[in-house]
Amino acid sequence: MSGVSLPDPAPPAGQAADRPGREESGVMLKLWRNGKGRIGLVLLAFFLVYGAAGFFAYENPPPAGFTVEDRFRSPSVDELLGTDNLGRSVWQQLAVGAGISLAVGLAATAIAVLIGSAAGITSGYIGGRFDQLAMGVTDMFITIPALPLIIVLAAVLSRGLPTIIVVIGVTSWAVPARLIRAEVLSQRERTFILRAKAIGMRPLHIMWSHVLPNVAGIVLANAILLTAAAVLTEAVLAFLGLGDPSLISWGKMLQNAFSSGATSLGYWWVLIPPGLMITLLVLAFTLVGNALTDVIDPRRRAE
Amino acid sequence: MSGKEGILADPISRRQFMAYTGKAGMAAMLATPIVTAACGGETASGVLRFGHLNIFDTPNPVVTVSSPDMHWLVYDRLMEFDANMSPALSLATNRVLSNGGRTVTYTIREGVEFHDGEALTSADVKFSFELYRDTKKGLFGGFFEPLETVEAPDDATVVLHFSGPPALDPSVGAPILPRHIWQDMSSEEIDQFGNDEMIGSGPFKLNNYAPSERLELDRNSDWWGWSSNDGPKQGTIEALIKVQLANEETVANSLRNNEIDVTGELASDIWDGLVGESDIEAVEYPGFLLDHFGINVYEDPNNPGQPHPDSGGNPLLLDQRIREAMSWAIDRQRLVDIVLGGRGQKGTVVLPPGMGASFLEIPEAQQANGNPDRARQILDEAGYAVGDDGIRVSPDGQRLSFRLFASSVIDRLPQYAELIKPMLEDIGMEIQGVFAEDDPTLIQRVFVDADWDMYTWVWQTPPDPTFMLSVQSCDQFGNLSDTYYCDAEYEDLFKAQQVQGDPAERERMVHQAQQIFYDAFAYCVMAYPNRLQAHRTDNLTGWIFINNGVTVNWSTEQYLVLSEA
Repeated sequence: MSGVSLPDPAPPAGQAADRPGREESGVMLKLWRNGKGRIGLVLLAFFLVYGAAGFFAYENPPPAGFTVEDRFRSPSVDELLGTDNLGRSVWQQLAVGAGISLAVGLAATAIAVLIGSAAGITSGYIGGRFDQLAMGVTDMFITIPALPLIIVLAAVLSRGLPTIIVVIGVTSWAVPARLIRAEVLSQRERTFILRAKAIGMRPLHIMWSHVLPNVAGIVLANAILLTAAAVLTEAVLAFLGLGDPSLISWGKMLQNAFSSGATSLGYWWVLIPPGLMITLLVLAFTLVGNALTDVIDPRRRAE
Repeated sequence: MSGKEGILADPISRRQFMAYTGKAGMAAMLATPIVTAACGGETASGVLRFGHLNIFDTPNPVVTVSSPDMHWLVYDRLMEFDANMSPALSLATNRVLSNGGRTVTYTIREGVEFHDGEALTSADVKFSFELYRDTKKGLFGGFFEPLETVEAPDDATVVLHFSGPPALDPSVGAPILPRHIWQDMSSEEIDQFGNDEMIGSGPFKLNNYAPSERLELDRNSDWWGWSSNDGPKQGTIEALIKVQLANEETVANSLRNNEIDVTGELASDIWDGLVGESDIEAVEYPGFLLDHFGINVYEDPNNPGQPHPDSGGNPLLLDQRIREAMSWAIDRQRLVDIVLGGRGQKGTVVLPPGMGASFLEIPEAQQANGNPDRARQILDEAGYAVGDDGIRVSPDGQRLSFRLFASSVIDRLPQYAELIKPMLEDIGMEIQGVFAEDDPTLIQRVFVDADWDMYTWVWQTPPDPTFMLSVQSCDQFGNLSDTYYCDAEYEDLFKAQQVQGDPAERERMVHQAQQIFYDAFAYCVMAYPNRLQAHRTDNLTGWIFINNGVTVNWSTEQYLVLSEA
């Protein structure tokens, strides 16, 4: 490990002179001062607490009813949001569904960001033939229509939450890979990278210690936007009947509402709450993601 | 393989595409109203338009496992089920029994032609019946088990020789094939034969068939039965169009929008939504359906009490007391109320109550149902004590932990499973799952690999008990059996009733077989759903009540008496 003994030629990531406002503490503060960011953060905090509470408070799926009268009960004081076709509490389903949406969204994004960062950083840093090949593959993934591919994969692979997470993850890494590569291309020409190369640091070490910290902001902002997309995709898959059939998620609630006829019977309480929740959670991630992009990338803010 | 998922299990095959092409393609389906585009405006000419989740499996009658009604519209049969579900003469004009019921002599109609103009003679009947007897495939072949030989002494006479008096004459099911088209094919070629032209002699001709999309049949105006002096079929419809739709909600909406005239079977809430709508009649029929879970009781025949080496099931399930306890733990009324919306009956025996006299009624007091205390008592007495984690263990330390599978293709199966899981956990069992898998995976798992513990499934029976009893026959391992149950006494009764000519004696045998199987607790029959359908009353008239439904029932009468309103 020759690189370890050498003095670090790069400035600490936070001090990159051409990136104003890079300090970690500053990011959160600026995010909070940003109107969109504040709404997004509040919503996100709510969902995190709500999802965790739902996970611990109720079982998934919530218990079914006992008599015909328990089915499709309309909202009342006893049952705030009524019941569905199996007499299960919509309130409890919403709460346990939050956990599923968050888990799928975050886990799928983690996979996508991991693949996307690895591909983007190596491709941008190494360049040449490898770059062409890697970006060729990336472009292929970008051009394949994502939803049909996801549907096919989800239908072919075994049913379950892990499948959904992996399928969404491996189909959404290409765009972040492109973005990250572009950022790396500009970083690569910076003097501190040239210096690191000059003193003989290994490429992997340079990528890990010097390139990655400088593109972390972009990665994070993009990851949050990706999460919004992943949450939505999970709902779509569940609605199409490709989710984990034994677990309640918001998309599954919508599918139940549709397949049980609640839509045409006018049982709005089965239909509207999950739709609203999906909208709000996607909104939360989108607001935070956009605000974060504004904060760390002033050029975009200027646009 | 093709026979497993679908043999007579119409709702299964009908819904198979929901999880794949159907539901996945729902967005596309909603965006392109193919029904409207294709059918709009054709009503005026007297067209019966169907909306179904799975319109047809194959135009080849030798291998088909669902939609017998469509085959019966294109092909003639010697006999048919009439509107009362009783066997009646059809292409045959006379039927004479001799030799103690073992020989049946038919006289067939003269001057009947296939759709391509070739004459239909007894040689075609002989050829077809020998083909069904030898292949034993598909929906119709299974009824030919007792048939030994067929003779065609002249063009209008067919003589069938059976090993014993057949309880159900296979002539009521078997479509008569044109020998000149089928005779030169090997049995493998017949298996693969697409039969794109579907040349038969029946009341309708194939016009167009696009798999998983639509099936169009046109009236065969030369059909013998349309003549009102000779036959009872007075319908005037000119064509029949069956359109595949993505899900029941779409089917219901298509009916509302006058894009179809009649629906297939609907779930209770969807059906409720159609009750009282203008120009729509929503009807409820006694079902021929059986919702149950089968328990893996695959036993080593050389080593009774031990699991078969090929079985992947939990060996504890070979203990009948555990299975009996399961049955007591299940609150079937709750299943009927919650899953079926109250539109069905509590399950008991292996034949559904729609079968009439063949159905064995188990008195309420003798039903193993809805009594968790009794279930716990049985397990306690059998020595399955509750362990530290709340799960019972056998005397030698095996946990009562079982895997529960459900097909994700039919909405109500995972719903049943979701409800029975806590009921079984309540008596100290651990239930892993619900594993909701798609059909191909589950068919492989259950019918091929025998690697399951409990498995929720639906059968739909024809109006004769033989098929449903055959499912539990020892001969059905790896084919239809979803228990791997094999019992010598049951087997003898099952075989004997097939050739028992005396209806009362046959009924006694059928009842006894049901009792034996009920007492073995290899099936936990959860419910008998009613069949719920709906049709429009403004385009066509002549809708009649036929037990088991408006469409896809076991009589073609419904189709043949419809006329333009």
